[in-house]
Amino acid sequence: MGCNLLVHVALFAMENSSLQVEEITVRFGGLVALDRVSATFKEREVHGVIGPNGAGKTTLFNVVSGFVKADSGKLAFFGEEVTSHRPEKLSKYGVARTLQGLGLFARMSVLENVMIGLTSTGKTKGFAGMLGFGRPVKEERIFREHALSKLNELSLGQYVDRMPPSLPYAIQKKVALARALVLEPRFLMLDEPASGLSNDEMDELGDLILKLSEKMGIVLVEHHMDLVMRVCNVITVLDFGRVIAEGTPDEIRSNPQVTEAYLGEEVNTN
Amino acid sequence: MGVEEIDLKAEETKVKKETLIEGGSKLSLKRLIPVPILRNLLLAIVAVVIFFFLSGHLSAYRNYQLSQVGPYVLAILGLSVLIGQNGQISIGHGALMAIGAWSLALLQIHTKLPLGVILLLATLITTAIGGVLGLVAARLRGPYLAGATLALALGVPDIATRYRSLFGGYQGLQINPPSPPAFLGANFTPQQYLAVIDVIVIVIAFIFVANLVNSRIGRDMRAVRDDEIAARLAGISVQRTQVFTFAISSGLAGLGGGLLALVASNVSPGAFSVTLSISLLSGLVIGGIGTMAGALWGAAVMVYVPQWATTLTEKFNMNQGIAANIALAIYGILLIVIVLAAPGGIQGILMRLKGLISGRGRQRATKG
Ligand SMILES: Nc1ncnc2c1ncn2[C@@H]1O[C@H](COP(=O)(O)OP(=O)(O)OP(=O)(O)O)[C@@H](O)[C@H]1O
Ligand SMILES: [Mg+2]
Repeated sequence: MGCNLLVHVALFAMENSSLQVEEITVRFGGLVALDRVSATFKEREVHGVIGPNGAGKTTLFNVVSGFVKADSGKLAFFGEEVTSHRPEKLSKYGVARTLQGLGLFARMSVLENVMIGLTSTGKTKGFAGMLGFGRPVKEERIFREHALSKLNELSLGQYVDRMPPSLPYAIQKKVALARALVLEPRFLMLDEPASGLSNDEMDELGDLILKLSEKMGIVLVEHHMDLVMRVCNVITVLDFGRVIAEGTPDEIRSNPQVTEAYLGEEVNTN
Repeated sequence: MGVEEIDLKAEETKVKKETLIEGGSKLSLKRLIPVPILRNLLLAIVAVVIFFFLSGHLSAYRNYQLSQVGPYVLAILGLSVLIGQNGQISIGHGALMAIGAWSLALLQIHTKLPLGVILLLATLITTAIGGVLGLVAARLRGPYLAGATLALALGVPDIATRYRSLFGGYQGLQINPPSPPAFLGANFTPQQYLAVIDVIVIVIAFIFVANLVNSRIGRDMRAVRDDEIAARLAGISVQRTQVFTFAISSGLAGLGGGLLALVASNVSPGAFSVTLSISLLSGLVIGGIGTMAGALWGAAVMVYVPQWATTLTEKFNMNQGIAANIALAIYGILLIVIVLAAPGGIQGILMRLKGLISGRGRQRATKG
């Protein structure tokens, strides 16, 4: 009896700490971008999502983050079904996402970019922002300190007052990461974080991902197979919107279907 | 810990920051008085007191000229928040000035409320109407938003002529210019009083806007301006931010309209044509988008250029028609030169000069 209960609790807890997509289908006109895709992203795990260009990886991210509404299928965060999802709510669930490309605010300083990552926790309402004393000011100081410490943690301290376009690409990518991380999310979704990085920078990114995965779940969309194979615990392979394989890096490497999907594509470069 | 270090960095990039609206320039004062409201109040009181004594040495005519600048400062400041901070456009801010002006006139005619309260109410009314308009504006982008706000500029003066009994038709409504309170003495002219009212109102508006821009809300506005997708992922409601910004921006234009009514002692449709809306936009560009000081320069250009043009034509005995055209020509040339050569507007040029003179951040200043 007690044992049973324990198992129950354990199961519940497991379910409770994951992001689940179930049988998600998304159509754009005649194009089926996602075709009954299911996956479970677990906490403290690096889950790779790979596939050729146009396979539906970003679309899957868009469904999870609320930009695209699935035509059918279910979305469950931490065991709770998410029915009316919007991107604005994502951070409330403790999920952060980076965008393919940069998605930085070009005319705001690095510090401000990262402070935006905290903005959803702000309590200052519209007109109160005009007062210049009390909570808005205190909140601002806390945000600033928080953002600064995250920037320092990622060794970006020297760039706080710079505008993103004036920085090397790799640094900009890191700033985007800092913005996603500043709220200490439970899940981090990375859409091609390694694109445009040199090999050394990619190694550094790999180290960082592994370190982060001690604290949070990571979903990684990436074309660079070296990186994917190195850091992922589980990999889901998409092709034409369908899941064609799921497994450990070793299993995926030796899966003939996967090789076929990538046939003609250069696997190691982008 | 890292704070000292960061202050140094801030010093280095000072020139760059100063061209923004962020007010990073008062670093030393900022350290001295860390609470923004106290710091701003101090600056405000100093500014008002200085102007109070200065205005006493100006002729009634000079004071009148100065008081004409104020309304446009506020309207351009409103545009600056909307365009510079939030990336929305409006070719209809002249119409919002009109709403503020008529609100003030009607309140003055039909109530006995003190001037300050009437100005505040006119501002709030325009803010509320701006909020409703903002709901529409937030659904529109680029040329569609421009078109819709242009329609506003065309439509609002029309309402005044249509409902003559309430809004006064073509002649508009007359209002009594505020008379200076007795304690200011017999030598205090109504013109000087208007100029002082202008300055007080402007200073208050600047404080509110500076606080807003430096708060989380201001940062959200800029995030929406730069990247809506990334802003949404951070939890920002794009629509709410845009509606709020439109409301605030409208309120500032409404306050400007209220002042304009006071300065002109009259509110009539002719004063709020589409030309006004477009002049405000070019005033913003000439003064410098995204800087608060830019609103001052832009408004000054709006008031003084036509007057100089008139003086010029009188000197050379040209006819009246040419005067109007010369003003337009100067305006146009200024606009073109600034768009091509100095995207930061007059404020940008001043900041660059300052950078060159102080010798600091020379490369940055020339790089722009
Ligand atoms: N909003 C949209 N409207 C119409 N079609 C879309 C939309 N978004 C994506 N698609 C299409 O859906 C398919 C999947 O696109 P998606 O961006 O998800 O691919 P991806 O796997 O991320 O590719 P890549 O590796 O190139 O980033 C593509 O054919 C794409 O053209
Ligand atoms: Mg993609």
